[in-house]
Amino acid sequence: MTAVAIRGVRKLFGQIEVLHSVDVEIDDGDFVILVGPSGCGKTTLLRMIAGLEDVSHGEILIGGRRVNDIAPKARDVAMVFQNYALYPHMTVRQNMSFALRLARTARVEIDKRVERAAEILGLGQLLDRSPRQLSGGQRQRVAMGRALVRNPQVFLFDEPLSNLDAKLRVQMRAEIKELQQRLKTTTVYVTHDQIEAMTMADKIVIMRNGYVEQTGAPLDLYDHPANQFVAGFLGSPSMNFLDGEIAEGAMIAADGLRWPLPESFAAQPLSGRKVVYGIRPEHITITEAGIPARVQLVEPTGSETQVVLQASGSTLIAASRERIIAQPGTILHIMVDPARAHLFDPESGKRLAA
Amino acid sequence: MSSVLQDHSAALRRRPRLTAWLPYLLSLPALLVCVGILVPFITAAWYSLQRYNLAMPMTRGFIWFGQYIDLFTDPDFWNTVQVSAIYTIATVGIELLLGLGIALLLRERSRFNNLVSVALLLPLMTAPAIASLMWKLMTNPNFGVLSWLISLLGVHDFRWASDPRTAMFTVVLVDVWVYTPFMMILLLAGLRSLPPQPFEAARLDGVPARFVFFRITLPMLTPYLVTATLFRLLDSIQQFDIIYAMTQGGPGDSLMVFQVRAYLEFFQYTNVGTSAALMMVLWAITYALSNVFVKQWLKLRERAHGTA
Repeated sequence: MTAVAIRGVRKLFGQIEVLHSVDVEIDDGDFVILVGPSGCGKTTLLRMIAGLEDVSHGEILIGGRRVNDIAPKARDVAMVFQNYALYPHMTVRQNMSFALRLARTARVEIDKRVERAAEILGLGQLLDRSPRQLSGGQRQRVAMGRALVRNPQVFLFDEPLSNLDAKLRVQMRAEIKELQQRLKTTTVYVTHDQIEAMTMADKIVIMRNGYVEQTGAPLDLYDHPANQFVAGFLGSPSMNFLDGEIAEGAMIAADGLRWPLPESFAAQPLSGRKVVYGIRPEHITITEAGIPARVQLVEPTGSETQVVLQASGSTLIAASRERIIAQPGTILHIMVDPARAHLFDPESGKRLAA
Repeated sequence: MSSVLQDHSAALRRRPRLTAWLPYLLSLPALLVCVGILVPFITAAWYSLQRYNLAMPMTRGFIWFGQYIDLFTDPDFWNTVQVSAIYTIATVGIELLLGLGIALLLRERSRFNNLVSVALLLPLMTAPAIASLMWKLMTNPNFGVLSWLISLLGVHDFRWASDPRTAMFTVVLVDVWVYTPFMMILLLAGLRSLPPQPFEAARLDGVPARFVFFRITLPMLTPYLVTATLFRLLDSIQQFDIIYAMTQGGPGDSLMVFQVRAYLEFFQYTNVGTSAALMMVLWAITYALSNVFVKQWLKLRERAHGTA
């Protein structure tokens, strides 16, 4: 069943169109992440679902009900804000129970829900503290608790982890994902961090400049990016791109090096066509013989080694599980896994189907 | 690179002489201002401990706190305290409510609102003495426009500042006209700088407007309210120009606030000692008030920062 449907939604601020006819269907219980570089419209879209921004054109449905003209409070959604938006002069308990108290929920019921949320989030000891006495991670949990007690149809998260330090972010990432899997509440989550998107989402919506570039499961997008932008956006280090022309069943770069094509392209009459060749760092291996490349930098991360190479006029990154020791300036030989290579059209950026 | 290093070491060599002089040089303006404040202050404190009347120089003598004892046993002094208190509380209270009300109306940034807020600032740019003269003309019983307007409402023989029963009302009105914009602009700046997220969270939580105002807006605005109130309170308790220009403290003793009374003691009765003692009492009140407020304000600021 569809929990949230966004159909042909456009958003105009004055003359400026920040969302161009966006369509997204979100299934019940799904964890959907809207991701993209800043200014792509992801936060605007989330705020439109929440009802904090008007919908200029198109419609938004929550639980099958058109909510364009329904006030935020009546949409049965709860939102967690980037800087938590706690009510500063209320204790944790009051913050979490405020909405319920306003809705004249029975006292016993309020206590039950707050206790339960506090237990889930590990806030039991902090209920009588005020927000200023809490650390960033704890405030983040209270903000989630406030959403949790309302037991909404949809959770909305607006970059909830971006104010936390790196280590806490990784920990909260796991906690949020686990929580969502336990509660099975439909969740829409906005982030600019592709790692958050890859690790947490059931479904990723990649946006750029107000357009949806691609929608799908994280690994599907990773393995089958629709275009060069998606291919470059997901993955760290990101995909390597080389310019060249197809000839004799390979891509010939400007310096004459031959980059092997996926088998499925062999039969196609692509000869003479200009393409962008994409290969992920983990699909380049360093070997005894192969394509020669000059070492620019070696970056050991511990678990893997990233080698920055110069070949065919481009900078390539190869990631290897093995520990590689090489001096900058020396020549290494590399091999690429042709089955994992992608070809993109240089004009449209679209991936060429095999 | 090497030239940078050389410059740096040259600067290091020059430093000892510079560090010796720099603190005095930089604080010189502040020290000068301090001297300019301290000399008259100490002189006034010194005079307040003397029997000192310019008309009777032979009676001059050091009498310790005799001047203060005379004051505290004088019903006229307590009248001054009472009048000052009423004036201060009335003006600051009304200005706070009006200023907050107007600021709330102008909260949204729009061309119209910005224009209105600039227009509303105009009274603040008028010198209070000029404003008072203007109001004096407007409330003149014979040709004043305000007198004419209320006569249309059937109120005749309303004598504004000339009647002891309405004098306080009239000067408070002028003070409110002059200083409400000050309150308004401070609170407007405060309102516009509040983070939007708690208000958005409140919209999602379905918090009614009344609750949003009392439980979210007001508490978050408190540091600004305290600051604005402090400024106005200190200003208002020391009010001189408006009252002196309107009524010279009259009719009778009805508007004899601290500054006006001290001024008259000095320039009309040449009673330097009494005037100085009055000013010292006013200083003590102001000092105590500002201390209380600054402490409160620091606490609030800390709280506001803790939740940012």
